[in-house]
Amino acid sequence: MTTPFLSIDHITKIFHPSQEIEVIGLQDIILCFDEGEFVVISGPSGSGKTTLLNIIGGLDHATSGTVTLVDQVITGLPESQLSALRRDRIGFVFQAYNLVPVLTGRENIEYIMKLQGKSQQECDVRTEAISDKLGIRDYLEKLPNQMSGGQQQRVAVARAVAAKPQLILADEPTANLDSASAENLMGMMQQLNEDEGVTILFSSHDPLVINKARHSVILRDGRVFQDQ
Amino acid sequence: MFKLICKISWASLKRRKTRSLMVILMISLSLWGLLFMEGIYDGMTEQMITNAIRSDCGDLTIYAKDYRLERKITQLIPDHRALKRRLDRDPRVRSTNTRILQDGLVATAHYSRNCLIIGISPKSEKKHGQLDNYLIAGHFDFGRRNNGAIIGAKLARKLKIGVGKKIILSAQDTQNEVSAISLKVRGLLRTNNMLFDEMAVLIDQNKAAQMLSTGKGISQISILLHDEQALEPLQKELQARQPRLAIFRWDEIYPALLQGRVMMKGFNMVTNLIVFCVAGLGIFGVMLVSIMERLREFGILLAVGTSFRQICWMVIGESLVLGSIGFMSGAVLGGTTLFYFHRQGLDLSLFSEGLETFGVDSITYALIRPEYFLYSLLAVILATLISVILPLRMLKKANPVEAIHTL
Amino acid sequence: MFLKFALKNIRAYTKRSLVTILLTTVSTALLIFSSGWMNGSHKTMIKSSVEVYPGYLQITNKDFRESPSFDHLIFESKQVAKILDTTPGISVFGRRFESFVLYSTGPRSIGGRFTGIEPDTEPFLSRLKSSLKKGHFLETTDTGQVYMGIELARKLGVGVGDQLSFIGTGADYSFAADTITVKGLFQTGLFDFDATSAFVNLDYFQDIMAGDNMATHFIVLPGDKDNVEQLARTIANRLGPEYQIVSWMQSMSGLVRAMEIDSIFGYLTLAIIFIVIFFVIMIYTWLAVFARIREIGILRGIGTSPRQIFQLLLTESVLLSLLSIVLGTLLGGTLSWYFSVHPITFSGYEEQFKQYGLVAAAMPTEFAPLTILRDAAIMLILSVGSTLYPILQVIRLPPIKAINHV
Repeated sequence: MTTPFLSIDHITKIFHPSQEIEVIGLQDIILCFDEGEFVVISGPSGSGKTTLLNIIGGLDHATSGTVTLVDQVITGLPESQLSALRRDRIGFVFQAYNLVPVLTGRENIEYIMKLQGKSQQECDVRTEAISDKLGIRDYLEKLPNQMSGGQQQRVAVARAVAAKPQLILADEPTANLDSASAENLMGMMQQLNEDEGVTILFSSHDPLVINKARHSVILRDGRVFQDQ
Repeated sequence: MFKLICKISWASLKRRKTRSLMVILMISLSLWGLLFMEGIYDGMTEQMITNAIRSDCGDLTIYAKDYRLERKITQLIPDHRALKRRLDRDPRVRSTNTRILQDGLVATAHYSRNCLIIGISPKSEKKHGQLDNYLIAGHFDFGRRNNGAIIGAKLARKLKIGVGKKIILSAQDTQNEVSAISLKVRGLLRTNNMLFDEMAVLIDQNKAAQMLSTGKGISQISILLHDEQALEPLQKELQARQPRLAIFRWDEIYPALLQGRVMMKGFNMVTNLIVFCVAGLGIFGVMLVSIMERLREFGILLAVGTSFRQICWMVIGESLVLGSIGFMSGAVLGGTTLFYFHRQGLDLSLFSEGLETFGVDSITYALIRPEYFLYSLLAVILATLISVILPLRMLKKANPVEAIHTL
Repeated sequence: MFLKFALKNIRAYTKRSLVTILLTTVSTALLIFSSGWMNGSHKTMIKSSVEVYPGYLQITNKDFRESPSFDHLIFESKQVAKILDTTPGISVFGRRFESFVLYSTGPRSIGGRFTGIEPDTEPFLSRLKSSLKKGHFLETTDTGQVYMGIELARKLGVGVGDQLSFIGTGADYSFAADTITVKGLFQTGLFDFDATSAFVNLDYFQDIMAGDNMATHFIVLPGDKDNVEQLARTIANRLGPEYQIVSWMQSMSGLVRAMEIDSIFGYLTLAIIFIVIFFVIMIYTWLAVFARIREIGILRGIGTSPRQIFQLLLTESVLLSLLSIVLGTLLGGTLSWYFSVHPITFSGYEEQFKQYGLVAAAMPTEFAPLTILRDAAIMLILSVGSTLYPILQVIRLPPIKAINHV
């Protein structure tokens, strides 16, 4: 039996907005994903999609349970190792405010590669390749405030993928986009999934977007409602 | 509505605890330091003035006309007893004291120095300026046969003598003869009035009168008043009634001390100004950000019917709460520190050598004046009010209602 | 990489950068100028006081300072002079013989200093000659001529050409008295000194006071005024244990300590101002950093470690501080230099100066590069230090809190 690429075992997350109040964000989540999958995690608002992605990415800590990425248990890692994990193995695309406002498109894309210690030459080669693939050449020298929402998200995806992670987590990447831009972005991510072989997990509540995924997980009130 | 405004102001500050605390800490620490410095500096200055007044000139000094310029032993105050009686009956006068003064020479077996011979009555000096409180060794009297002398501590140090040693005092009398007497040192005084400590040789007034052939005349009448406000009016009155005499206020005898007081006031004001300008800048920064980041919130309030004026009051309320808490904590800290050093004194005897050079006491008692707190309260209120003017204008320009729709 | 990033951030958030730069620049200039002013005024006061009369180095009998009497004089002053003649490092030296007498004109008599000086060397050792107001300074051939302080002359009611008498104790403890003529009047500005001092030719003094070959002091002007202690040791070695050599730092220790206290209080006052500035910079850094908290959260999210965030924010802080401090140093240094060349004059506070025996009409600031560097370093530590707390606070936040910050 092969080891799953990403396994989520009995993950529970309980929030404490105040001392007296307890909110169950996730309850006993069990999921498995193979390498190279294109997965959507959907569900109504408050179902725990973002919480789950944050725990998988090490941005948040689970109350109990484990997350294992290939051979590495992510839950319980110290902050320094989590930073290294997010730098080398996991890429993030957020709903908004993805890009560093003072860096150009190119500099944003190169950022993680520079963190990884890659030379300028390597960065240039990779940036050119990715920007050609994603059709974002025109925005490379622009600042984020000179790009539209859709353009910004495409640059964010380019940044995530340029660093060659094993896994990309995208939290509602199309939430602030019009339908055309959303369609465009999803197509691009699908293409990347096929060409680069990177596993992509994204959350959404947009049915048009959900249909693009081959593996769908539906969360409801913090539990897995459906996994197909 | 007022209660609601207060509630919202307080809640806004609580929401951003750390930065509110930073502003409060800034105001209270600087206020604490300022109050302390003010109280100590003023205490030092006033102590110097008090020492001069008590040891020498009083609030007012009467000399014969031209005595101060010429300092001749023959320039004595005529009818001084009648004058003294009249002064003692004046309700504004707390006490009066007479002295005979003459420049002379004090010599030991090995050395000599110029000095100021002062003929006094120990009983009168005790009552008048409590000169006996400055005694650091020996007794504040002239012995049974009145052949003792009390000398300034610095003078004693220069002559290398102490209590019990013999000195020869010589001076020119009213007959132009040089007269000399032998005395025994009965006591040493340290007043921190530099002139006094370096020059004064106090002897019995009758002995001085005998030595200098002054008869019933005296050189100086010093007057202490109940209230400083009576200083100038009484001086004018006396001068008008006694045209043959010269009446001086303490600041005319010791202009340097008055200059010192003025300089200290100026210095305190400048420091206060600097501190509150910078503190105002700190409050301004916090208030500006506090307003800008709550643009949506203000937009919602305006949309549901709150007037811009009421929003302004919320913002002003927030700023005033910050300022008030900062002021109160600083005032309590500063006031407590000042009270402590007012009672116990600040012991600077480690620096006594240097302080002596300035005529400053080794133990300084801080002053506490209501105006310290009043002026700093005014400054804090001004700083808090002025610092919100610009942020409020920016709020008006930013159009909060539009901001509701932004992310 | 972070350097470039930091520079971009500084440029992008101009308002915040400008406020911080302005605050730190002004504070640096204030500190540098205040230090220069305090040190300069103190040095001037001390120098003036030393040079008016006391001198840089005093040689006395070893017991004289303890017990200043005619028993503890320099009895072999000519022999001492011979030794000093061959001692390197001495620019000029001269003898003085100090005592006190009672001066008397017809109707008045006053006690005062009566000192024998060497008219040919004294002009190099003190400001007596340059303080001449009326008449003439002494000459080596003078007998019975006195050079008097203007205030003393006024008290005695004498002027140039007038006669007066004195009576005192000679070195053999007999009475010494004579009639002298006022040759010149001086005014140093030190009221007490001018009101109690008079000088005669040493030869005449030794004659009238039975003090042949004697002196109370040798005053030495060192070739290098900054190395007085070294010279004192050299002279002590040559003269032997019979003599005590004291530099101005010891003979005027009261004034030196007084200046130290003034500095302490001065720095205390500055400290209060700098506490406020410290907090204001901290507040502005806090606001600036927390305005970018989402951005910092994102950076954490995409793999930047807390240490790297710290590096980035600290680099920004250091760059801003360095720029401000360079500007502030230039400003404060220029002011210090300008006022060292064009001193500030104090009209209106002469009485204060007179009372403390200070002669200083004009107070130059001190322009000392090392002190300026020291102050710049202090400001650098202060300004970077004040940003540490906000930076550490923001990197302690879990990335998810930073991203979701409202």
